[in-house]
Amino acid sequence: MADREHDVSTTATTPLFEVRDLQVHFPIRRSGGQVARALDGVDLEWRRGEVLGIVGESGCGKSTLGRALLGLQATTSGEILVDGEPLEDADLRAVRRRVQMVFQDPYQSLNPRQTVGAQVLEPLAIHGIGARGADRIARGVAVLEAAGLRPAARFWDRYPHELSGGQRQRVVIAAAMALQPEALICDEPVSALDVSVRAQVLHVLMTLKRERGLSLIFITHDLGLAWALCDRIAVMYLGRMVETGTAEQVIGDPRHPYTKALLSVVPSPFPRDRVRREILAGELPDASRIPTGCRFHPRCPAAFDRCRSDDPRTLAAVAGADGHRAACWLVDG
Amino acid sequence: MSASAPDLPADVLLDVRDLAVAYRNGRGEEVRIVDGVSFQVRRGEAFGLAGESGCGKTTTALALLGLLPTSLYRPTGEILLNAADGLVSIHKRTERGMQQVRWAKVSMVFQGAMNALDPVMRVSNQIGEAIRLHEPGIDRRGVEERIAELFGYVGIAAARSRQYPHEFSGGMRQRVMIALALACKPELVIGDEPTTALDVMMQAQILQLLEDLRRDLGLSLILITHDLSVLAETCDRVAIMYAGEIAEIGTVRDLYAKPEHPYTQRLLAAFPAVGGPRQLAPAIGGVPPDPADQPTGCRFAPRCHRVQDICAAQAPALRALDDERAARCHFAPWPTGSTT
Repeated sequence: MADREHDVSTTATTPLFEVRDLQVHFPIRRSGGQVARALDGVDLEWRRGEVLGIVGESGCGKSTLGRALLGLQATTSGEILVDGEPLEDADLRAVRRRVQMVFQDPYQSLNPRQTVGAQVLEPLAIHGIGARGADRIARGVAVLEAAGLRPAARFWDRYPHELSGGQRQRVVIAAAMALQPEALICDEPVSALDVSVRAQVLHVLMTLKRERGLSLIFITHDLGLAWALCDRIAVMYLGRMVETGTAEQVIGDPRHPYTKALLSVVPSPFPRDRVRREILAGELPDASRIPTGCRFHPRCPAAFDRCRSDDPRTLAAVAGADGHRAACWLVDG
Repeated sequence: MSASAPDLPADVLLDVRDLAVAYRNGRGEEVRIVDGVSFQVRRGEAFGLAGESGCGKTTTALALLGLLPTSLYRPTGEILLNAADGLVSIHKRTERGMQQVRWAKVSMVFQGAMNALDPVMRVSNQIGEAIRLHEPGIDRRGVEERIAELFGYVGIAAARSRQYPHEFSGGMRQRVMIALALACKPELVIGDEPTTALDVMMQAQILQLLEDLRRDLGLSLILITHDLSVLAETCDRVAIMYAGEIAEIGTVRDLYAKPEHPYTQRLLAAFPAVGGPRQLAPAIGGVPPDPADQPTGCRFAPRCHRVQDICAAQAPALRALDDERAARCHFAPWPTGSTT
């Protein structure tokens, strides 16, 4: 905060969040000191105004990463920078006001014993925003309507169980937007919703982004969604990014064999687009037994000797593609 | 209709005719949640049933298995299964009679495998129970051999059959469910959102497994899901359901190339395709109608982006457009190039 003036000159280029070699390890009970490495050296940049997709299978660490960004998850080592400043030095309350989180299951975020109105007023009260009474209520009404719950009066006194799944997720989004955040971290925000409702909720999010210049993270396993909505995509495997770049680079010209395999199995509604499916055998290995060498090598169709012994620790730049990087020995720097 | 149900063509395994499923509301009125549904499933075919929650797709499946909850009944409908050992009129069977059919001729794989498996019972005992139910004379060794064979089909080491359901991951549990569904050598397997809770790679594994089993064992498959891209990958023909009725039916190839019902058009666009347009398709506004309060005209009219005056006034019939395709829209077929 003391360097505010200095910050102004760098704001345009300083990412909103920067993550360097982030590690989050969980001790395993009664294992004699073994740990699960949920995050195992994550590097990531989230730029202002950007829609960033974090893509991977369950258990790859993508939700842990989302929580770590907001200081909701203790980290083992590595750095998280907010506006270039270490998160540990930042005022977490202020960060959580500026960056809100939307989870997959609206029930996880809503208090079943609170009315819709109370849910959107609560964050305002906690952060002491606006005057108690009419001012806060006006703000609450405005965010509910912006989230598509119109007229807000019809929903104000209802309880979560009286709403549909899509309406509940809109309440979550409205409560998150009440603090006028700069950014939202959305963890599988629509995967629990029905098909038509899903599109409605996505439209709400994208409209908010367009009108308020929000930065967004979409944590998802849905590559189609990432392709349609994200500016940049980071593909995560077993606690680490394996490929990053613009959506066109990562989806249009994937370089990591894991990204290629994921893309080949995404069901396509256009049968003629079908590429040969590269179905990986087995499951994501346990985060307490991360393979040596390249962590992907036991499932990789292109693995060779070096992959079994050497860890492609840094993301190598793909030649001729600015910003496109992959952690694979087959990608030459 | 009768003891002498007309013979079905040999290549048709299942014939559903004018099926309705209803409940009585507080005022004693009949409320239909499935209404006039007819379709056939051919031998060896994978048939898809798609639509939003509440459209009647799962209720239809439960009717095929004789598993409707007691609050529901069938005002109309015939369900004929052209089984290898003779025609079965499922709609006439009592619960006792259905026990001869369920699992042995028609079986089901549910969405949440954990709900269908008994958590305190070894997997081998659960599958063994199903086998013994239909082959009372089978000895212990026969059961073990059969379980090993079933686990071989679904790609799990036979030794793991001694484990409990919670010892399996989500994908593995779904494989166990499939083994259970195959235990009594059914001719038709119904999968109700069998991959919805799974990640994309696990989903691909399970869908591939179902495809392999269908081919190797000569099964017919009904796949129920809201994800039209999953059906595109696995099915030969699909029926799109809306508000208890079939809105459109046809081969995957034709229906996806040129969806004729505006609902199908929007449903197809709802799942952005990798490599497709980099934008969100327009959402289908609103919610499906309350079954107790259906619109008088076309049931989709209040949400339709191409609605005309006639739509609110008159309910369209499901009209055949060619041998394979039918759509419940006054304006089908739409001129080429207008189906957006």
